[in-house]
Amino acid sequence: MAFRMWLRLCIGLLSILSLTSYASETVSPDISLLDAGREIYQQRCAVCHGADAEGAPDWQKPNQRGDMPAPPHGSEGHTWRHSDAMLQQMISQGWRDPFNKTERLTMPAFQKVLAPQETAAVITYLKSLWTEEQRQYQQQESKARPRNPAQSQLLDK
Amino acid sequence: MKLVQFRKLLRGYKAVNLLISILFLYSSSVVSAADLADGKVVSLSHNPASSDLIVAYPQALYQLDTQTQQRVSVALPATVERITAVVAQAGNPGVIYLAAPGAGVLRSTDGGKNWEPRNEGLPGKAVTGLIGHANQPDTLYAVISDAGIFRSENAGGDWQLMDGGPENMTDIMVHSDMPGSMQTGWVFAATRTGVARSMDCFCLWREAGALVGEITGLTYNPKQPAHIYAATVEGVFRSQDGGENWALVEGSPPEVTALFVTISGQLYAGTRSGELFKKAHQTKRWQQFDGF
Repeated sequence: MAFRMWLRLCIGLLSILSLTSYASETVSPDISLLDAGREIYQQRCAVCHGADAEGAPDWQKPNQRGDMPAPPHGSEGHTWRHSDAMLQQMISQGWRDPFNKTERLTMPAFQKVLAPQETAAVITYLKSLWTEEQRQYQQQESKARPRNPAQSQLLDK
Repeated sequence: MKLVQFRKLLRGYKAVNLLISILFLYSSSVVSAADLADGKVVSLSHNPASSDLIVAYPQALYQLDTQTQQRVSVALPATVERITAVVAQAGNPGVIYLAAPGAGVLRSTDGGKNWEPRNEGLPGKAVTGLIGHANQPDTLYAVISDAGIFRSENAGGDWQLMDGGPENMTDIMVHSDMPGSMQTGWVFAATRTGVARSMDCFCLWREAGALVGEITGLTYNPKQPAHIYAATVEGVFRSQDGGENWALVEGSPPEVTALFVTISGQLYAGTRSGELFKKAHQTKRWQQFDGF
């Protein structure tokens, strides 16, 4: 009698745990890439985006040259709004804000500096700076937009 | 003698009665802006397949044939107390979306004969603004005051909160597929102090140029997506560089409350008094349209 009761209790507990984990699936960055990504970020990205990914001062407004400064990559920024494909393209091929006053790239191109796996590692590190909600949103975006047609069109020119 | 006089009197009475009836019927059939509640043109849209201009007033909706200038009233469901925006879906003549506080987002797939709510995922039905994506027919953006801007990518099937919107935002927006975005285009939003602009990833709102004052109408030219039109108390302004610089469009009608540019590049304006105007190509002249 007691055994049956404990058995039912264990089965019930396991069911609840499995349902709970299904319902609140978290997006966890790939740990194997995290350390490598952090190191690459400090070497290549921190000079503009800050050692703590806090972005340049007054990043929300054009600088004295009339160009947009480097934004933060944490939860206060907007990196989390972009799909993996978009982030890979931006890091690899760079990007220029069309309203910059100079012809300089807003984001320089790193395709000659970073291998694809290194780019992936940096993106993995950036994901660790976001909230869970932001990671989930970004995951949805990545699934919905495996390739960004507008950006592809722009960068293919 | 008296009988003759009575008959004359009776004939005269009948004639006057007939005249009054004719005048009554005539005045009933003419719908003027003054007859409509508020009389303000709230929103304009256009169906490229049928060439109809969709004209929304606070309590009335019309499909206006731009060739014949004949208008057909579109029956509204009882849940609609006040229209705040109308969107005709590009490429599908029968599909119209309405925003109406209290009813939320409504969609018709048969030109307005029947309507269904499309509010799943919205925090309420106080939808005060609604626009369509420039080239993705099933993507819509809705504004709920005090809640923010919501996006649907499945024709209103469900909605997701994207952003709180720029500071001092009103409910008027437009989506442009102007190049240079990190995503698929740009959202321009009317504020009480000018025009705000963001890529449609909603990464960052920035001021679009130095246009000052409350924006009462906003649209873009699908043929030239960097051309944005904005209405202020001073008139209609046009930017040719995505909102960086603005110039007054000469001869603008007064008190513009709605703007729209069709895929052929024809600019329409609706006013607070319910009038409609179109801007003649290559001239400075604005032509009053539809006789109001």
